[in-house]
Amino acid sequence: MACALIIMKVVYTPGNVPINLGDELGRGGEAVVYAGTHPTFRAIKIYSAVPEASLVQKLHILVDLASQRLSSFCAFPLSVVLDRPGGRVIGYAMPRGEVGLRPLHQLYGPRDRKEYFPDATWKFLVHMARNLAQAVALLHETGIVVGDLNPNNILAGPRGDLFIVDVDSFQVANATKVYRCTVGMPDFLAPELIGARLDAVDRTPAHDNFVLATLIFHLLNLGRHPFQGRWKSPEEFSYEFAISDHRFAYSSSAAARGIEPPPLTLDLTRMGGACAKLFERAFVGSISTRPTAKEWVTVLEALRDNMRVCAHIGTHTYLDDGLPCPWCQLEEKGAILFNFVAAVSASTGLDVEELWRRICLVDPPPQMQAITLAAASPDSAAIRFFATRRSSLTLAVIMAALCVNIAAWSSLFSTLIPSEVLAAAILVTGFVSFLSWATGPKLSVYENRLKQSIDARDQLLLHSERNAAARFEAKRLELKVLCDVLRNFPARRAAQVAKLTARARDLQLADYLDRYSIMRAFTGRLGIGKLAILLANGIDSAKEVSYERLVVIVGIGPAIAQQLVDWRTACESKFVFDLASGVPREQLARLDGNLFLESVRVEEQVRLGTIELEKITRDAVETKALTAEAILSARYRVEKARANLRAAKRGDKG
Amino acid sequence: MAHVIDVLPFDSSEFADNPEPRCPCVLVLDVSRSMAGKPIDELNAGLLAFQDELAADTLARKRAEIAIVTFGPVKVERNFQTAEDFRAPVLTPQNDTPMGAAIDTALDLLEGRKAHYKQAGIGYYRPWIFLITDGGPTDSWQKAAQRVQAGEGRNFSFFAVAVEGANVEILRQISKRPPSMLKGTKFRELFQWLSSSLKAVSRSQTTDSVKLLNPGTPEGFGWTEIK
Ligand SMILES: Nc1ncnc2c1ncn2[C@@H]1O[C@H](COP(=O)(O)OP(=O)(O)OP(=O)(O)O)[C@@H](O)[C@H]1O
Repeated sequence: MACALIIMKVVYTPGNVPINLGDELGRGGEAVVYAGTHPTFRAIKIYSAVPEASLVQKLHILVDLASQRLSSFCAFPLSVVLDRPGGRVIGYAMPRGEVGLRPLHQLYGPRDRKEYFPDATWKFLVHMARNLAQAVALLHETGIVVGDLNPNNILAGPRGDLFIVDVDSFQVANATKVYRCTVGMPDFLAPELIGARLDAVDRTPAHDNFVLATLIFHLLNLGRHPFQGRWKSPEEFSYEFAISDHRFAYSSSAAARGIEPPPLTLDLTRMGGACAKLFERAFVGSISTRPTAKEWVTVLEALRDNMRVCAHIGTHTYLDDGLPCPWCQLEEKGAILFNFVAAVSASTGLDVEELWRRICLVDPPPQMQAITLAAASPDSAAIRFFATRRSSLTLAVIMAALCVNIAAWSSLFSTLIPSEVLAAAILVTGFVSFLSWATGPKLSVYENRLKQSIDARDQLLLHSERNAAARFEAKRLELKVLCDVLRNFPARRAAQVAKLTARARDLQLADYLDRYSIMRAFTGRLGIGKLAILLANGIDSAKEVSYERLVVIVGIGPAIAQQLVDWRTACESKFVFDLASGVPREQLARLDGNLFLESVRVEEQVRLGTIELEKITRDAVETKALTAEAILSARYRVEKARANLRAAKRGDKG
Repeated sequence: MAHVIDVLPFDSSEFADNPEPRCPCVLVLDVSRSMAGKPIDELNAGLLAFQDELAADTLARKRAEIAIVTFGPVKVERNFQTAEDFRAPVLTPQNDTPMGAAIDTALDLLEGRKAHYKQAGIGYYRPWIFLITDGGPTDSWQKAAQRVQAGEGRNFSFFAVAVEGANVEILRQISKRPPSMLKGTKFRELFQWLSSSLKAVSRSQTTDSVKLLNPGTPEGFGWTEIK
């Protein structure tokens, strides 16, 4: 019966909607979860055994309860699925958890977290705890008890998203019956359930609340179980005993119970008074004092919003309680609980984006309003200049013409005025007129004046408005480049770490292959003689095996060489690089140290640059009124000079 | 709330990195001459599969801790390591069968490990000791047997697995729990059963005590037989 269900390729909703089963997404003790090829039904859980009637009824109740809201953080059943149209229920359809989701223990366990959530800070863990509390609060509001709340069933995503799976194990009730949650994990079980048969008790929200507090504690104390501590009594450890005896290892009353917090853990006090109180109520108190999911939401939000960033390591965030960074203190004792990140802005605790944001906040220098000048009218001198020059020239020309005519007409006029006198008078007038035309102010004077005024105006503009804007832009660009340098630190670090890691991997692989002894693997497969030849040539483990090296050895033919190489390949395929012990700590520390020093220098440049940027604008604002006036008058002078020149040339009056 | 001991007596940073409760398991493996050939090959293959299966379970890989003691002569082939770090050794047949000394070594190893857990404030589940042999002890085993009897069910669970040719009579006197007979050389099935039993502490259960699969049935990988 079990096998028949697994080879199924298509399943159907009760409304006969076919859903194709895609890749396997996961598998548990009692079912396999497949991807579903339907926009709504994106994940399908198929039971290994035909579900009992009561489970089917429970699924129907869950389907009725399903809502957009619940489906957003739970793999809530959206429909039962049948093996054929009108057939029997063999599973259910649900929304699919996004890729990148990982079981909660991979988030709270430091070793896994450093690998799978490399940037997660304590603030992120608190945020996640808050989201978990919120999820449980919503389920309780809906009348659901989770029951088997545990770190396998809660999936966490890198953006703080949360997804609870195994929803068919939730406890739900209708008017006539409670559909129980029949399982639990011994380390995630309320004291009153210890020793109970879980398929024989009704679960309550209070049971969930105990486990919720336990999970929140794991998130806040980096994977530590609240009941795991140093115990003094000689008896063996057991969760059953520790939990039912309220041996909360971090409690202010822990010593009286013969237990103390484990080494290399966060003190309860560093989680804030409100949080500590809730933990005491949850773990040392009774059912009646146990905090609800809602209470946790409030307290965790307050904690999350009251954090500071360590001055030395950017991934260290902690409660802003005026005490030194607890993660640095633990690091000094040898526990590296967060990935190193070059503390890009260690001196202030600001990050690059914060620096850049500050730069963007600096207003550019004010722009001068574009005032349209009324057209300037020319000076009377310019107009007179034109008139004088014109009349002088005209007079001279007339007089010259007269002189010529007089010569011709002299006989006629000579009777009236003696012609010599007349001619002399005309000559003098004409000469004077010519003289005044030739020696009076020249047009080039007006041209020069215009040129000078334009120069003066441009000079002024350059030193004020346009210049301030240009200087501002140039400085800003410089700062942007510096910020990009800062932004690039993680990538540069990653690249250098990758280089170190590759080197470490090679070393580790060699070490690993060295453990595969040829003697051990090939005794019986190769004759003693051949083995002796190999040993004599310094080849005694998989590390030394390479085809080139082997074929040249007398007595080792290509066949044996190939056999050994295949073996080496097989050994190598089992090699798993251990990242954690990969790159030696000192190398990382040196790398981070260098990056740190450099980042401090660059950051200082950014900081000073930002101050300069602000100064450019401030200066521009302060001198704006003065400058505006000066510019206006310079522009006016240009207009005036232009009008004068025009007038002087053609007599335009503007 | 300062910690009482600030100078740590041993490096507890491995427990800071992975504070999951542990489920320690010592394999006490007979590698005497008589295991040569198919038995030791199958045992090696079984160990590799065991390594892979535990490592594939995201939670069990952090909880199950494996140590291997081989005999003869007695050798700690692997000290305790979580399944994520455990690498199966390649065992080769050696000499005689000093089973008593091997069991003693295994018990000492376990005691030492539990002391570490205690100092580091790490929880653990009842440890498992798994003796696999195809012969009878060539040394004195009575004292070891007493230790096993005294600790069984309280400090650890002791399982004896008899491979074809084992002295079942003596195994019965060592282990409180009747020894299981390995069917042929079904070492792989045996280790499959062992890994899924170890994984059980990382899974949801109906009760708080771990339920073992019946190794005589297909669900339990059917590696035992009644003789
Ligand atoms: N909706 C889903 N989207 C993506 N992955 C899922 C989804 N539901 C389940 N999974 C994956 O499948 C695995 C098994 O699912 P689930 O826990 O529901 O099965 P189970 O047989 O009830 O398991 P258990 O033995 O824990 O009760 C989960 O751990 C998870 O990795």
